[in-house]
Amino acid sequence: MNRSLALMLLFVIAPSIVAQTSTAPINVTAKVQSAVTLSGMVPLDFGAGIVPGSPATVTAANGGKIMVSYNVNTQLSLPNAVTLTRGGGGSVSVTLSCAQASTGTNPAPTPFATDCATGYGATLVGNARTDWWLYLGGSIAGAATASVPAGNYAGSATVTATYTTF
Amino acid sequence: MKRLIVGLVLLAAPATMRAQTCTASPCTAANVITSLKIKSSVAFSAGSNLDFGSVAGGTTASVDAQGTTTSTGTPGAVILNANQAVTVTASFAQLTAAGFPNLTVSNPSCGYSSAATTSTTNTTLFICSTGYASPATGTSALRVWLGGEVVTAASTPAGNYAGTATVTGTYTAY
Repeated sequence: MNRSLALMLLFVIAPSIVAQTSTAPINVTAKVQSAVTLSGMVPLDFGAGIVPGSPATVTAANGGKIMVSYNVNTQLSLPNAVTLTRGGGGSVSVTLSCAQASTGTNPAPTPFATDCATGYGATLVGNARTDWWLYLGGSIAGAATASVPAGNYAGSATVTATYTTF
Repeated sequence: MKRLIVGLVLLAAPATMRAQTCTASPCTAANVITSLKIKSSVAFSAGSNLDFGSVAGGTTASVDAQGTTTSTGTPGAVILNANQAVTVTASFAQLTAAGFPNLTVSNPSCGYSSAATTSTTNTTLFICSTGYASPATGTSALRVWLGGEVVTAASTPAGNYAGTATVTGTYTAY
């Protein structure tokens, strides 16, 4: 008799101690900002000297380079040509050739599909911040060196990085 | 200690070696330095010989760089082609004839012109020993004219005397 009373009491009381739940979902967001840096520049140098009237070429593999670090897909481009100038007068036009590789020591980097100005679309590798290398070569026509003054010429090829800003 | 060393190294590194961080897209902050050297090309070639002409012993044979002469002489010429500035000077050796006293070239006369002929109009005189600095942008077929005087004495033996004039170009070698 005592046992049956106990069971009944439990049965009656049970509904009142069932856990009550209530949900109120909220949105949780985060933004990782875009970060693109360029470093490790190696100059493009045509070497000891060009004999006037002679053409000159430096392959991209043996030319200048720069490393791009990015955490967002980035379009990288350079001009197709640059003009080098000399203090005191004189200029030489250099046609640029561009290539890219995943390391800075690749002996045969892959040329840009079209040209330097069209650029190269650098994508993330393994969905992680990625380092990628751009290689820069150049060529000079013989006529461009025929009648310019002797001396040292300098210029720069500007790298443009275009990406989505987060 | 390690931090101090790293900091000093970064400070000493050229700006071009440091990472350049893009602050907006498109970013054009980074440059690849491009350079080349055009080698020197400097060449002299003989134009014409300097001839003092013919004079009587005891008189002076004279011809200057502009072609003015008292002895039916003609100035000498050297042609300069260069792709840079060249300082041109000239010197004259004594004229010799076997067994005879040497004759000295005095009052050396130098000039330059872009024309193939010399005259008071198209030739500019310069001091032979000091020299003439040609344009930094280079010269094409620049004539360097040479003249001077040869003083003879009444006792100077008759004969043909010969020597050389040396034109020297000094320039920065690239």
